[in-house]
Amino acid sequence: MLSNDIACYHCGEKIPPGVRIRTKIGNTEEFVCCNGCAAVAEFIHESGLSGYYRRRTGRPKPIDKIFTKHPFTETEVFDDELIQKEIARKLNETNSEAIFMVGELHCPACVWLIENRLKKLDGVTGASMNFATHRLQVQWNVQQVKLSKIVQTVQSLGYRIGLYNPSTFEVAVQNQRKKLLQRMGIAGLLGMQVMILAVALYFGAWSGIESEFEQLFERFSLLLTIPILMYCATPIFRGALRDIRSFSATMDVPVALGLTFAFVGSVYATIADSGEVYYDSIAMFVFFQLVARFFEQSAQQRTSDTVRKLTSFIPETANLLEDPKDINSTNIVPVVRIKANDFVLVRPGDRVPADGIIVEGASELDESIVTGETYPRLRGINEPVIGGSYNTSSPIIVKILRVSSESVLAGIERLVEQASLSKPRIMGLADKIASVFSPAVILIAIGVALYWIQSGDSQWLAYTISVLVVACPCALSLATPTALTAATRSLVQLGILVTRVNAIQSLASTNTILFDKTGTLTTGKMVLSRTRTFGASSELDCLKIAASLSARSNHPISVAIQNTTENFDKLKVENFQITTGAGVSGEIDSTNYYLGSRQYVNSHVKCPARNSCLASTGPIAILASESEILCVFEFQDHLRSDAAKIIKTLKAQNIASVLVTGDQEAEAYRIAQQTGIAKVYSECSPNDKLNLVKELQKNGSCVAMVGDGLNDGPVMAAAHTSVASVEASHAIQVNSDFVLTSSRLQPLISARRIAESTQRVIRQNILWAIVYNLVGITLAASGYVPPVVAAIGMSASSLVVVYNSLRLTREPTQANIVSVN
Amino acid sequence: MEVVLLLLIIAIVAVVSMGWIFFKTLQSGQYDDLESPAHRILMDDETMQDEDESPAKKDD
Repeated sequence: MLSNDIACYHCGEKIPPGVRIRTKIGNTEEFVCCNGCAAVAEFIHESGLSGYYRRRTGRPKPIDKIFTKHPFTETEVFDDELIQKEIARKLNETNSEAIFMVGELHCPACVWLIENRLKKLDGVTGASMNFATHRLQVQWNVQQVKLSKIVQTVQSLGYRIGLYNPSTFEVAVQNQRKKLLQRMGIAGLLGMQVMILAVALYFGAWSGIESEFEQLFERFSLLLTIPILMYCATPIFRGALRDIRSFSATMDVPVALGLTFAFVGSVYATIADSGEVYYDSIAMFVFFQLVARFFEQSAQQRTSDTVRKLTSFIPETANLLEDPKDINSTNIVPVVRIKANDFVLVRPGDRVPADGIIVEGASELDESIVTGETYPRLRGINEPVIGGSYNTSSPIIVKILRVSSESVLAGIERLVEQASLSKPRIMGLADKIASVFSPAVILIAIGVALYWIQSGDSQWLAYTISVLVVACPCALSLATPTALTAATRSLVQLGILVTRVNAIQSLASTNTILFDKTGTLTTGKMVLSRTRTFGASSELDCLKIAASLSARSNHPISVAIQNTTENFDKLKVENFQITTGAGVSGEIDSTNYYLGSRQYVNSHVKCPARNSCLASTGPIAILASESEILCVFEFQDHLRSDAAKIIKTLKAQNIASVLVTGDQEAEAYRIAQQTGIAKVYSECSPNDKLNLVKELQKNGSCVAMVGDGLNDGPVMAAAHTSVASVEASHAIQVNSDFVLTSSRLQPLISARRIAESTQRVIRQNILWAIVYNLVGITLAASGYVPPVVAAIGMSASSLVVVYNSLRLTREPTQANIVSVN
Repeated sequence: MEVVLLLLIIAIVAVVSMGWIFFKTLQSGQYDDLESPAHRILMDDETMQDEDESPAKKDD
């Protein structure tokens, strides 16, 4: 027997008691926790890359937890022409290039391991792994090595690997980032030159300068500022134009106006050779704006990359049947190739590729992705199946009726999109100010001009222009974006991803949180909650028999038994039989045992089960021998460890928690009781949930919805704020405002706290910016603000705002930090 | 006067060439991954030692 503290050679996890797997590494034998880890460790050693174990600073997950099947996954699909066409790019006659996403990277040594192992493959001409984005770029010779071999190699090292096919939106965002960086760089370079000339002009204003030099410097400054405005500042002007056209107010409008006035005024001063020039302020201002935008976008892109990393990305395959009568005529094809009227074989553990109808066999299907229901449903011949549902028990043959774009799943996704368009938006404070800012400034400027004209001052135009320049809301426009960017960063560290940055503001004003049950408050996985024995056998013996019987079934109940009895030695089972949707039977030590539903057991056992022993809130399974009932197992959906604590904390903060679920009343009340939620809505359809949210919103509540399944999609889209749990499907994660990155709910509380401090910081920033602008405008209106004062004021006020926002990134150190990787 | 003018023109030429170089570096993808290169260079340093310690073999 092993002592308990031996750690797995590969993953470093404690080896569970009873597991004795050894693997030969060089001349020594090492202990590992699972067969997956053994295979990976051997493969790494054989490749001559054992140095990985010395270099790494992080630890991988146990391989058997990453891959559920051995050998890892079918990779033939990567050799399919359609898939290759989609991902590979021909470099020349023989060489191609492709980009993959790699999952489970945990430290820079992974990058080293993957790159060096791939370079050892004959035919691979280049491999470069990006640690930040988890993208792997491979070049290979198509005649020497197959793409599937490359994919297999990466899998054998213990990483998940899949297609990288970004949506058009993501590609656009990436290009935009590049363009923005380009604009920022140019603005910086030109701005420095303008600044050098400006310093000369400041000194000139101080100690006198010959007018020919002044003129020369001003003209060169003008020359350098033109590209800044025409090229670098285009996003600002474009944004302003769009807002003016749509009559919506954002900060872009006053910013663009300020830039225009400053430029026109300076050009006038340059040509007329009288008055002040503000080219330095313009250059600096544009540069600040672009830097802020760049960081904002980088933060956003990072989170979208992380969402991508969280989801599985292997191209789905299906077993296409050439001849619907012959079960052996299967062909593994990518799901994109499946057409209506095709026949496919769906094995247990596989996903149904598209909507269809069962033509042969019967099985239990887990439709939770669409309906959110916990328990699988039995479907027989001529019954419809939904694309995307999991087959949990026995093989079926499905005739495909509709392909993806018209499927039930796609329909729900469309519904989510529509609902998110009608989402109520909480207008930020900065937006409200922006809508009155420009008119107010223009009115003030007119007033100042009239006053000076009336008092007969010939300098009236210079004064008016300086008012308009000083009023340029540099700090004000940075107030919100910098705070939100900083908050996004600290939220990621706390284990919550922000996919829509503005949602941080709505989260702060949330006063009602709706929780879905399955997969949100609970883990969505069944666990054995109680065992009651009736016969002569002890509880342990019953568990042993049940474990051995259920070992070959994928039914959630079997999986739950397996999870409890992981370390038991299995008994030998003969004459094993599965009755789909009912139970399993087998012979152990020449006794017949039955494990399954009540009907199933009653039909095989002489003495049927009494009603009194079957009372239970959750599903049950009965174990019986031929002569008597031995044991009743009760199962429950397991509550997340911190669910009750979260509800209590929320209550203390005066936030109402509501449970909305499609499940039965009894089950819903059980969960509500355990967590302490007072308000429960059970047996809700997605539409009921949607109406409930609309009702709450009508009554003035600011609603956040925490959910996971596609059935929650419409209601999540309609709520002010939506949070997807870690197990949520991809479509939900992409469309929600926040995504939890760990199985705990605790980050919700931290997120709300950070959202509140973000609101506070934004308010401080805005207050400061307004005070600065008011003081500046008063000074400029009353006479004279020299360009050097305008420039210093503008940059100093902006820096104060940025520094104040950066305080938000220090928040997480006070709370317990969850690392994201 | 002429000297100042000449210097200004030189400055503009310098800015334009710097801008051009910046464009080139951007297009070559230098700013796409700011994390891995730093690690990669440190890891590669140790490769020599590894080859002594375990049987490196070339795959088919």
